[in-house]
Amino acid sequence: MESTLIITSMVDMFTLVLLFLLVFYDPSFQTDTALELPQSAADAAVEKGPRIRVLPSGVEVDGRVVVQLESGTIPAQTVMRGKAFADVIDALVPLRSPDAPGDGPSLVVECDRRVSWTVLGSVLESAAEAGFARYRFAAVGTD
Amino acid sequence: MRRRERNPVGANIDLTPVLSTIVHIIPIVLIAVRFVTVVQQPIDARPLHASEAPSREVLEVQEHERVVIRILDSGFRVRGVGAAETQLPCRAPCAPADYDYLALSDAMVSARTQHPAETQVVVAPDPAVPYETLMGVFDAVTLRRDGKVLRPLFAQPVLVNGADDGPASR
Repeated sequence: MESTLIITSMVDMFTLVLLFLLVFYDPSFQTDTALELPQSAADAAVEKGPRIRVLPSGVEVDGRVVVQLESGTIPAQTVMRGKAFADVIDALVPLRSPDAPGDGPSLVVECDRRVSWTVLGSVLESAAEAGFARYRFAAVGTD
Repeated sequence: MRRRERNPVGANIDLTPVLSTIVHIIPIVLIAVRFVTVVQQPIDARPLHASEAPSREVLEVQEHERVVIRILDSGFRVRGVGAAETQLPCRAPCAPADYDYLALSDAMVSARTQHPAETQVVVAPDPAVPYETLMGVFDAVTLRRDGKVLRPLFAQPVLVNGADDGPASR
């Protein structure tokens, strides 16, 4: 007597699990080795909104490099307005939403853990000049 | 002429290779995936804006009412806790992990007791201080975790420029 094993349900389940994993698998933290976020005990989920990314190699706004850095230092030829980056101000102004709720528009800052205050301070000066009043520093949760 | 035979409808399809592939891919994806939670630390940095920055004179007047943390390459210096400036040196070579965040958190608990109405704490980093150290300071000044007990400290860390040449220096 020949017995038949019905594996349709199992195949269906495996396929769904595989699709689920592939859809929700976010490879950004795997491939973007240039950005190393610090760890933080904060537990608030990061908000959506305008973002600026500060790497040792440069400052990115909307995925576009607007200021080049040399190993985390500001090159001498960088155009500055006081302590702010002129190109960062120009790139951030269009992203500002004048009717933002609360205490004014906020900016999500994704900064590499190795970047010094010299660079980060200038980035925040630039954001302030562009009209951003609050900052949300992104980090990797420890919990 | 003999007619070519066609496979009958409902012929068995061998699913063994498909199953094998799926069974292997699932553990690979599960092992490779990193479940990372990105969190945020809200920071008020409005005094960085030149037009809104409090003057040195104003800060000098408010000095006794403020808690000020200077982050130097040798450790922390805290004002607003007791009469004298508290020094919290870091271990050599003073990498971000070598700073004494626990002692800073203890100092913030004392400062919170002395300044119950204050919500702001001024953080003045040295130019060479990396962002990782700043995040450690933000964690230490905003919340104290004793096991599962959470104690809010200063909800609004305020960043100001310069540990050496800013209003926090003398």
